[in-house]
Amino acid sequence: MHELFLSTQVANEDLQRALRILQGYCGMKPVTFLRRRLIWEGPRMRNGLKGIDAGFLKRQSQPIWRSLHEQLIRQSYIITLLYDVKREQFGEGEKAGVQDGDEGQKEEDPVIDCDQLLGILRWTDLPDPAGGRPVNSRLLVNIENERGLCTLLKSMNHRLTQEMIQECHRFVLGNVVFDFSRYLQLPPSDTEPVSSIRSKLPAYESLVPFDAENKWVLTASALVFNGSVPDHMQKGIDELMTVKTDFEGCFDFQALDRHIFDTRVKI
Amino acid sequence: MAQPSLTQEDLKALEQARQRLYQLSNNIASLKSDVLRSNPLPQWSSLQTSAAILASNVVALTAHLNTHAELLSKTVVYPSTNYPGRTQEGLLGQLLRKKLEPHVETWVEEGRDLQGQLNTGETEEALLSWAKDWSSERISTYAAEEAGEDYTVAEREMGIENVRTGLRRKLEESDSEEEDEDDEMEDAGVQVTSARRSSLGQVEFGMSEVKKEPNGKARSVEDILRLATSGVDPGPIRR
Repeated sequence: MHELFLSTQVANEDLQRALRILQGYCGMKPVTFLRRRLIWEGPRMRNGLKGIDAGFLKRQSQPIWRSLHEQLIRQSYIITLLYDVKREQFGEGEKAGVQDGDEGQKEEDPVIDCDQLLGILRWTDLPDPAGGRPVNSRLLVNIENERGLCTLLKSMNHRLTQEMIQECHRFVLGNVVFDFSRYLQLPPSDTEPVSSIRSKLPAYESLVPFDAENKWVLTASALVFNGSVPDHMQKGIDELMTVKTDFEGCFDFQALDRHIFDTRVKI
Repeated sequence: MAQPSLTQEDLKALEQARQRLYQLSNNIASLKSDVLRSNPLPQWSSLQTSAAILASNVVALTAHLNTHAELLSKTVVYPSTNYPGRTQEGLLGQLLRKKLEPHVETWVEEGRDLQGQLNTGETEEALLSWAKDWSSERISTYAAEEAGEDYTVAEREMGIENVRTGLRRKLEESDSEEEDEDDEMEDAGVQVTSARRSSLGQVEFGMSEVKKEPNGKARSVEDILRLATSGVDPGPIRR
């Protein structure tokens, strides 16, 4: 699968207005979600990469695992796991701690175990060289609704390097998806070891925007199921270019330098 | 002669029509009172939701009326023989009146005229594509040139002090006040949005706050995207 995309930025002060413009353009209300992004780095090796465990691979019926495997034995990559979280899940651990009286002990501790949750595994390649194409395009593998992804990545010698929260307002028009995203970082935890997957999320108010100016990144993207069919790619590009033209003077959608989206592990 | 009494199903259909009409008139009344009474005006999203509910009710009602068109056209209402016709003539007239009120009749005519014009003219699709082209052009002009302005040309000509905005806050504040506001915002942390759903299912954009890093750096879009894609972060709170 190929992803075609364009990106631009929106200042936080302009977000409300931008959301309204998109609401009118797409004829829908934004879908808002919060997502944990766990970023895993593959083994720092050039050769002899094992990819996905052969036993695991055999048990999978979806051919998509096989295509991911083929990428991972060729080159070591950074892989992202995505887990949807609710606003109420933030700071739950802290609340339970405060109420820890006689009754508090009996209450179930709201520990989040990502392995028990349905998550999304996302692998993206370094975007293709532009070659006259006015949009960014990259290979993408998205495996959804899987449990036990953290264990799987650990078994593949991948190492958790970053965890962040993505806050996103999403619109869809035809084949084009518009995402307003910003990335929030978790403050260092006193109770949980460094570089482990958090089992409790801190209070939402304690999250720190990665960008001190609190900008939002707006991306317009389209997925092309089979990137080797030139007609399909062209149709995707055309749709994104229509979006770019429609918003000229309002949002400056651009194809950015492809090396920003480099997911290859540096050795 | 036709069957004198209504069957159980006919009654059900009539009852349903009555209920839908009742619901519709309630919807209209509540939207009307919302707009008239609330100050400031209701949220834009709530207005949109109300309009969508109204439209779906109208569609449901017309569909229902269409399905039972035959029954409705055959049904005749008459008073029973023991009705005190002489003393209660006024009420009787009101209940059995079939002719529309004169002003309602005008509305119906207007509606029929409109429909006639639409049907004789271009097809709906042509209208839609025209509207799409026109509005996207208009939106970009709006966004590029007019979005920053709070008042329309007509309002400016009339004098902006006479405009009833329905808003409590002032528009078009002087520069110095704006600066003050910026300072306040800095003290209070970063104002950010979070959307939550109200009981009606519509999204409301509320304000909530996340912490502002005092020593935080402003990042470029490139840096933000780099972090999101590969977790590369040269920043201070790397774990």
